[in-house]
Amino acid sequence: METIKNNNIFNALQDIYAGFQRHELWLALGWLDVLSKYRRAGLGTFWISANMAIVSLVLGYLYSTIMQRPIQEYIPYLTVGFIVWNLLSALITEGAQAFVASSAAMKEIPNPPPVYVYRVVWRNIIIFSYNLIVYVLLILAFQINPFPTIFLAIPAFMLIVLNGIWIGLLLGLINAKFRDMFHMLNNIIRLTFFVTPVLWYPELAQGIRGLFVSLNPFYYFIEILRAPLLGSYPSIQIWLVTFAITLLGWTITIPIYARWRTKIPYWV
Amino acid sequence: MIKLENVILDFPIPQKVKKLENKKNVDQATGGMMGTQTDGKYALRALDNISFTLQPGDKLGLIGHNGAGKTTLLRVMAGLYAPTSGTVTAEGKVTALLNLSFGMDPEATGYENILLRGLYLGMSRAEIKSKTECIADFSELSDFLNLPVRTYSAGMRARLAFAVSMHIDASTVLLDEAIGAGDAAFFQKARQKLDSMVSGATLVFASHSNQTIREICNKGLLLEHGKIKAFGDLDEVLNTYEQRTQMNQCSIANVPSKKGAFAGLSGKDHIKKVLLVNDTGALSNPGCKAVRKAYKLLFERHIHKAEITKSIPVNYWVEDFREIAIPGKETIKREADYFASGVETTGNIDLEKWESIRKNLAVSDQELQLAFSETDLVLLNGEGSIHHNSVRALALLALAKTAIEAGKKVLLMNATIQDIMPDLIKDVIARCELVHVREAASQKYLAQYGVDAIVTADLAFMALQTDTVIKALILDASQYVVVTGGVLSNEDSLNQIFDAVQNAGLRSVYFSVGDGGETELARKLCAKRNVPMVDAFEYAIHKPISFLKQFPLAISGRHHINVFLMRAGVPFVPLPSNTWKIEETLKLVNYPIQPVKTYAEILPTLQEVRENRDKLSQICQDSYLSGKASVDDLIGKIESCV
Repeated sequence: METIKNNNIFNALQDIYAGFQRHELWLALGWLDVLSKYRRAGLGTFWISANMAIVSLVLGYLYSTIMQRPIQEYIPYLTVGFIVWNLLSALITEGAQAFVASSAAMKEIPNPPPVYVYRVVWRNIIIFSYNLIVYVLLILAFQINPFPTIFLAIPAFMLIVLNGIWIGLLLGLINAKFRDMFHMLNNIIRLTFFVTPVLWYPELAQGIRGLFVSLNPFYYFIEILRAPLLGSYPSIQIWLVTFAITLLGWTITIPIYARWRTKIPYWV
Repeated sequence: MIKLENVILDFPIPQKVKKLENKKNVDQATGGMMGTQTDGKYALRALDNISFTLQPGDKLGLIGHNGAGKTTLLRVMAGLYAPTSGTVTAEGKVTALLNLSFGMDPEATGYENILLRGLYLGMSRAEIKSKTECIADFSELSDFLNLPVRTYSAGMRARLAFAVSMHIDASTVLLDEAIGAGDAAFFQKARQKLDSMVSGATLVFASHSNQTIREICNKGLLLEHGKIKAFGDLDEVLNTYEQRTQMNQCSIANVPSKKGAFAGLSGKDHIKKVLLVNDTGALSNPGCKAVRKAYKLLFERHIHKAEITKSIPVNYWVEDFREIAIPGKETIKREADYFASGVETTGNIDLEKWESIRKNLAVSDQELQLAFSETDLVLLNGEGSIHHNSVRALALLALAKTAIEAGKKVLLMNATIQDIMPDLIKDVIARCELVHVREAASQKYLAQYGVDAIVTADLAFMALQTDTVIKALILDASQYVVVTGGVLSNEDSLNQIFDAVQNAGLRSVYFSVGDGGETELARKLCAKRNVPMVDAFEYAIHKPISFLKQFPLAISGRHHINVFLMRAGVPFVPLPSNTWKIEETLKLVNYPIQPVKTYAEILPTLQEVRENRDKLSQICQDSYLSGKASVDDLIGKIESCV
């Protein structure tokens, strides 16, 4: 017996878990999203890596002189930072569209809504992996030794994914009702890129400007993955902040999701 | 099993829509009801207090106009929309096939799309893999499955999608207009698959095609403005739907019409608006259509002072009288070796109860009050229902009395009146402005109680005059006899008829007018006996006369088909009915063959008719003309009365 009408937290958690269980579906959908973008192109999905390589080389070459850093240090720094930034920003902007973009499916087939969040997250993990090819080429080319810190990249990455899920659930839900959200987010993200140490180094923001770094959650999430990939340890403060944000995010998301999840099909 | 209890579903409405000035227009345009929710927000009530339960094996057809809430109801049952209040309980897996083209990637190949759609529909990869071959076979797409779906035609896509959807193991299947895509052969295959797939499962099917619903479903649910208007036996629900549709059409397509010029001369106010209260059961029945047409002709072409502007069915009032009415089976006499016929008299009914039920209905039926307020005259079609104190008779007479009490002039027309409580005759029929019956017997019967009735042949005689009679051969009909059983027919009597035809060295073709259970019975029997069957519904025979004309002989248990046969000049063996209408009409128009009473009489009567075919064919046409002439006289009488 299944009764279709519940608003409590237990059911929301069940929903999130049931969505995860439909992994065969969202894995396929995520893949298809990536695949369909590059279908009929000779290079196929490797265009993702190629794009990243071009950006990193051109920007790295130019900005290394502006930043007055040696090119073999600056290009890997920029590239890894940029790859992580791309992942984070996509999790936010695409996460906000998770339900809206899948509205046809949501009105059609009774799958738990989190399926469409997992789909977005998985899609971006795939893109991230293609970008990592550039990373591997760079550490070989510039002979950077990421060991043993690279192992820390694994929990760091998991943490980011965990955040990607609550962001998708929360923003996806809000954006389903208030579509201005997406446009607002796009603007904020574009601006944030320039105030987040991706192109520049955090220690360059001096005095009061240091707040752009210390109060910027993006900084922590970039650093937590960038540092181990480039062979250094993220500070304990970075771990604490990212853990705290993850915890806070889920704590806020679950009751909100539980309260309004059944309304999503009406809104999209 | 799937169970809905008091399901209400409100769609929130965006701010901007709030300012709509004419709320009523929105109601009509959307089919939903605009209203304010308890918390002050505006909402569109898409579903209003829906409760019903379906058992395994039930095949429910959802019927209703665009926007009546069919798709929303499917979505609620599928668990896509959570109801605003109420509960949906489902046992087992529920699968919804709402949109066949959904879940397809045009760039992916057919095989990849089988996987994708399968996953969407909740199958696992392993399950899909094991079924892929079966799905591929079913889709008949073979090598195309290796090509991207964008290269497919629309029909091929639908096939693929349908093939996948049909291979899900679900205990409840929800379908929205899904089938009908693709070519006819595939459609047939899809239907068969659907049949086998849902034999043990529950099916809910929403469609605009009554025909498809008839073929697939055994139950019906009529939705109107998000409310259940009827639920239960499919034929009854479809009938109600057709009546409602006709009612709306009649009330929309009203006023000036042909009489525009006339109205200009004498002032529009002089045209009396007529409310037609229609008691016929099946609106697609060609006979009922002919009578409706006759009313239209009478009031639109011949009587310049009145016009039918609205029509309402009697059906709504029927259920309430069931408890006091004489049950249908008590009005029919069945004896071995005899055709069923009517009994002479039935018992008394509780008239006080009748009056109290009537009063309750009169107060609560706002639709009727509205109809009264919009019209000047009430025209009661008394065709075939005022007999044996039946439930329909009680409902019709109650409506008539209500109209009289509302100060309306009531014209009771085309009636057969037989075995009704004398008090009802004095109380209602005697107070009608005009009583028109189809038989001398009815006239005589009423005269006993001091009611003067006009008698003519059935109004259907009038409506056939414009139907062009062409001999349209659709098969070599010379060795066939067209057979139509009446409402009284049963398996035994039909078998006897088929046997007699066979013994005469001829073959039967069954012509069904799709009335109630008769169609089902005939369908089964015809399949068993290998008799071709033509359903007036299924083949939408707009010109039944042309169809009938191709046959040399007929055996008919239907009063109106008799009229058609006369018009077509096809000699026929009549069967009895449970009222006077058949015998008396034949007498009235001088048709020489009287209804056969026993099974033993069929064969000799058929042979007699066959031998005198040419002479009888001429007599048929004379009968038709005499019937028509008697009806034409009616025009003046109504005119003076209006």
